[in-house]
Amino acid sequence: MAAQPTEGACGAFALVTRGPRGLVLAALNPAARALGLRLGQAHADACALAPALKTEPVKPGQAEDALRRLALWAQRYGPLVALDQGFAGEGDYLGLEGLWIETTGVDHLFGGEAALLADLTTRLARAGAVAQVGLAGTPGAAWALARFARRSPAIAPPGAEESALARLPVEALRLSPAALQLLGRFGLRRIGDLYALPRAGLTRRFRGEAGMQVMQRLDQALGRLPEPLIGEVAPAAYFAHRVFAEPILHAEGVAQWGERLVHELCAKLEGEGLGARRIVLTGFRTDGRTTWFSAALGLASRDPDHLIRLLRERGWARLDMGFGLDALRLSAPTTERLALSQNSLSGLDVHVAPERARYGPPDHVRGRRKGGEGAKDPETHRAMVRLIDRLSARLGEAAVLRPVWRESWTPERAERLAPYTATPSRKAALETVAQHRPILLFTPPEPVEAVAELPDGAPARFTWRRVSRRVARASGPERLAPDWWRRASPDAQPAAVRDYYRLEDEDGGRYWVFREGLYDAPGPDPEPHLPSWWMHGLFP
Amino acid sequence: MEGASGVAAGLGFLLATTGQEMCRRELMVAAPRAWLRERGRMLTGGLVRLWGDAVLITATATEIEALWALEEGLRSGAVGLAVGAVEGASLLATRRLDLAARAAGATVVLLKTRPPRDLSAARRRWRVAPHPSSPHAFDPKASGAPRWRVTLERSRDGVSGAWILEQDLETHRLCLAERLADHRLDFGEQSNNTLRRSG
Repeated sequence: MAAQPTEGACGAFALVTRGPRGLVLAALNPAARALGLRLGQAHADACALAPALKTEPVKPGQAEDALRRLALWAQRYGPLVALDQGFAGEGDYLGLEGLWIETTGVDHLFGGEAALLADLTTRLARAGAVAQVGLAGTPGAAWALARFARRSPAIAPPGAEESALARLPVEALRLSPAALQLLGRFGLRRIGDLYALPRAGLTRRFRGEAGMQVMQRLDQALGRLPEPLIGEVAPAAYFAHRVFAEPILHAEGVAQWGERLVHELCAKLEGEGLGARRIVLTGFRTDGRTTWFSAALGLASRDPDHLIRLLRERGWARLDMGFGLDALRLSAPTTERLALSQNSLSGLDVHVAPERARYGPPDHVRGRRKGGEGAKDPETHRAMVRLIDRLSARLGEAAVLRPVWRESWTPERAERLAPYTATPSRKAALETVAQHRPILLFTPPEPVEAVAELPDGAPARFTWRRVSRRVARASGPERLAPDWWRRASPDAQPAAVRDYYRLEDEDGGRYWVFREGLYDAPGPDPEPHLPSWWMHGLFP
Repeated sequence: MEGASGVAAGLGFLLATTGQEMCRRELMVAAPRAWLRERGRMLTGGLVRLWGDAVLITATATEIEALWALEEGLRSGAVGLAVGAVEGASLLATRRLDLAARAAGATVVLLKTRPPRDLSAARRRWRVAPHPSSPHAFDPKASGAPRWRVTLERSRDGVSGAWILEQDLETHRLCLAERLADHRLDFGEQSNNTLRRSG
């Protein structure tokens, strides 16, 4: 399939790009082509030929993005859609870009191959894209038919690629200019001319890369050599799809149909003994674009209620519907084996147990809770994972946090909050000091003005958040050295040593305050470097 | 009294009273991000002795989202204790939380640093303030076991009272601190950190 956007029926229009000798034409619309302009022509020449020519500079990547969007949309016609960049180098548009759609086993859903292509062209035309379509048993033959056949859509009957291609020019074989030149020298203009020639002789004559390419492309087009297509989006093995006669315009419609699709998808997954780990709802818009959102699951599931709830939390209205959706697809790109397990003997309480969970309790928790009183039952764990799914779907994965630990003495580094979805970490071996740590930690620490009786002693009075407090009791210091192995560069000054004090004011508030730096620390400047005081946490 | 150390005292009291009974299920904390920035984030190094270290912290954008997350947590059945840092919860919101907590057999606690304006469906309202700690056994200058001044302001059971409680650092149990002469209970101008507890 080859598609070109139209620029309306107005005058000649071209895209220009910077060539070695000034601006050259990089893409033309039909009106410009009718004026005799061609690709690669100098902009000045073109303006002389057609003074009314309108031009715009090429935006890099724009054509590719448009093609990719179209590829996503074209998934409605087949599970695998591959991009064909043509033979363009960078910034070079030959007008040969297109898409490959694998429609094997799909055409009967549209009422046959011809009906499928007719549906495709009508929808594309409605969205303002002129397309030439070809259908054949091999990607190479389809490529040739889409671009060089007399009329579009062109369909090669099964097994008849040879006769369908015979009358097409050799350019239809996707050959390099060198190979085309070689064929032209021998007077071979049509693909059919190559059939009659003995293969051994052809291979002998067309030595080198150009010659090899001729045989390879011919064999690929005729199906003698395999040519795998690499899809733009990995095809989802499990999906439910629905096409609507009238476009859906409201989120309510999406919700209604989305729920049906969930039930269909879950039935398919159940038949295979699988559970979904990620589900994607894709809407196909009438203007040839797609819109989608996805939800991740911590534990594989095929429970329709849970999936519907997740999608609802995510918000059906996340689909940007534009002028309406004419098809809706729910796919499960990531699935996992899901075995049925029976938790109770009554037989009514059958649960589905996955092989592994994405976020199980960290190892040390399992170890600690092993055995009697603290052991969590699998039911609670399953409920927890579902809760995290729902919270992450609604609030974003960055909002649902769990502590992770690292071997470090710096308190804010030793325990951080990380998204629950990340892999759990082992607890660092600093548990012995845990009970000397506060219950609330300020990150970053807040500055404090402190007055100490002795330069190296605990503060006697300090001001924090504009309130002055007198220290009634103090203990410390606990000296925490910075991680010497973490330094921006070998020459950089190491972070200052911290002396932590545990202070209690007259009202009973208990604080964790530290002094950064030492009084007699050698500094780069001759001025004595004064340490600073910081509030880092609160004890209960 | 400064609200910041009041929050720490409230958390300490809360975990000391509920730690043992809820251990089989998760602890969930839901707080707006601004609250976590201003009041400090929970450090499980401090929680660990009272609670397991599997804590779910939900940092939301608004208080409404925090309330929603709390309710979801309670309804999921996985959460044994849900702590919400929500200042302005309406009567309707607290009633919903109360119902969800009762259905799940869980406890929900709202931490408040200002005196509540709205009515609340909370079962109990505690007011917790830090209190000078007990003397340290070996170091007269250091602070010993934490003490809190705890008032049960409102309760559906009709009980109320005021105590000075001390937490044993070994067993994490609460006990009544010795009543010294200067520990007169005079709460007129003291804490404004209120703890509501329901369920």
